Amino acid sequence: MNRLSSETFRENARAALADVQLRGALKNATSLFGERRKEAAASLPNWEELRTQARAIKDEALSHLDQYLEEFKRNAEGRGAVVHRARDAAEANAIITKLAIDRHAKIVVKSKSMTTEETHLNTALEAAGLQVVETDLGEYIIQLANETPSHIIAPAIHKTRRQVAELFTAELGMPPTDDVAQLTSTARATLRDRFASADVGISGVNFAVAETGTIVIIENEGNIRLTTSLPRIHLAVMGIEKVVPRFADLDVFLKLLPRSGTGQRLTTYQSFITGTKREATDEGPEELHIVLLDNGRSRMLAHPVTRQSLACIRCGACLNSCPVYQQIGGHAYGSVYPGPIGAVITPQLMGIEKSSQLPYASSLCGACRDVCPVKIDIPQLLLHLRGEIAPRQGSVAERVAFKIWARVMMSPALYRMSSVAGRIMQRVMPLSRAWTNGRDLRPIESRSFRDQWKDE
Amino acid sequence: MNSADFKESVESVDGHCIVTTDVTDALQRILTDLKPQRIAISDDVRVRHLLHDVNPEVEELGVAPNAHDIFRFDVGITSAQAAIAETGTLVLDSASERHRLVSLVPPVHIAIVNASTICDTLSDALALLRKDKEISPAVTFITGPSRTADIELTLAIGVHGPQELYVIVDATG
Repeated sequence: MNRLSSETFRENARAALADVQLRGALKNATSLFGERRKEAAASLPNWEELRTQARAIKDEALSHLDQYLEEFKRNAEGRGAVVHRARDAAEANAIITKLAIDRHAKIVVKSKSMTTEETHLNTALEAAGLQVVETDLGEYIIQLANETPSHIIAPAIHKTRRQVAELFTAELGMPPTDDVAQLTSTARATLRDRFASADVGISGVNFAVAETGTIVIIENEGNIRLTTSLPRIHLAVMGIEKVVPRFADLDVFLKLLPRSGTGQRLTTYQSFITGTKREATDEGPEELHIVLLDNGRSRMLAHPVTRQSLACIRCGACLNSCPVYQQIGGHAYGSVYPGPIGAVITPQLMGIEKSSQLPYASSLCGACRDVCPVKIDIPQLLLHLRGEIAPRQGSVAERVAFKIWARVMMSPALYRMSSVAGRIMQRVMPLSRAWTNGRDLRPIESRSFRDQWKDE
Repeated sequence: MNSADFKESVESVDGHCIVTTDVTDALQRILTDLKPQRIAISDDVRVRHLLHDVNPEVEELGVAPNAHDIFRFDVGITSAQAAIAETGTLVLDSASERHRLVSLVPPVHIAIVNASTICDTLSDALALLRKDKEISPAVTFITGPSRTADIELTLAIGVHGPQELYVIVDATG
């Protein structure tokens, strides 16, 4: 099993950089997603306006989150759902496990949910003796391989078709093939059996509408529809930040999310689920339970700067646009949420001590901010987190160096001397080895700008 | 106008779309092509009548089969309560019809929609759902056949949902 830790981010990243196959896969995936996103965004004349609207809706929801969650709960329960609130991962897992065990469930089918990755729900369910089957193709592949997702919306992009084929041959007894269609149909056939026999379906939630008590889940494969339609019991797990005030707000988000994620105008399926069925003879589950997970989100909400990280709709666009993610992929971050948004969320969710390297996994180029459909200022948040980390970590030498630098910068005479000294030092000393290992340092001009300016 | 745009959108996401004044004939042709052994239909009155008229030779014709039985059918036939022209989307509302499983589990889904119910945009369809009624327990938007790109980002059609989607637009309806 390859469960890397955020605490060893630098080593993880170095190992990932040496993985030629991984880097090839990442290059293909991130550039393709990036191009498609760009085209899809350009196809809407009011893209910028939509981003602004989306952010305004999220800000409104977050600033009255308690009220909207109450409203959502009231309306969902008015329609027959049961809404549970979980303070942390352990509480969420306990609620879900108990619901399944009390109903004598044996097989649980799951559709992709980053929130349940965050709580490590599968481990908890398996410990309670339940068989858990991931049904999203990418999630199914990494479950068979005993790995974790490496991308928010394409969990298995780090694997080649050959690796998937070998896995299916070993685990499912499929004859060796390189044909993606055949691999896909093998997964379809295998998972149909599980769907037919599952007692409980567990899904995530993309949006929860306060006004109507509706949960909205979007997908391409159809496994979410199967998960939420076939078993007797549907359990939906969502972070508390997923709530939006009005049904009409979905318009903006359903335009932004698929375009930002995969570059589609709309994904193949949107399921709008409002409570349980009305008549016993109607189709669909008998019970719907919705678990609202906090797990550190209230803490994020309370902070005026980091609050905006809760606006994230998990599209993955910032991953694809990030020059760091493009090179190292998701696993190196050692966290459930990778990439720029992961580097922002993880230290806040898991504690800054355990992930203090992540906010430095960025060149602060701002590409993530430019593509974010809800205009989260990720570089600003990374800087803020660095500001929290630095006082705990800065060495004495570094602090002294910056004090000296400040003095030099405040005095024109010292500054002039330093530029002369710099030119000499560059020739005689192998400065900044980490920088020059991979590239040449440009020699400093023999005459400074100030000198040249005087001549003119 | 809407029907033509809708057709174009459905085709752009790998679905088939026929705009016709003779729905019975269109369905007849599709079924003659597919030669299904087992057909599942929703409990919609119009779909029942259509099947009665077409009267295909099959081993089994199931009306809104349950979660246990639905797996053995080759083709599912439903109607759709509305559609969206700009995206090629079908809107299925569980309050009107039992079509949740018939539109999902069989490898082929055939949907019949009235031209007059096609909205221009996603915004229009969402507004329609909220208009003077409460939202049904399950509303499903369907845009093309099931797809995935989870292996090497290579598109594969028909992973969990239907592999083929046929939409018959009734130009007279």
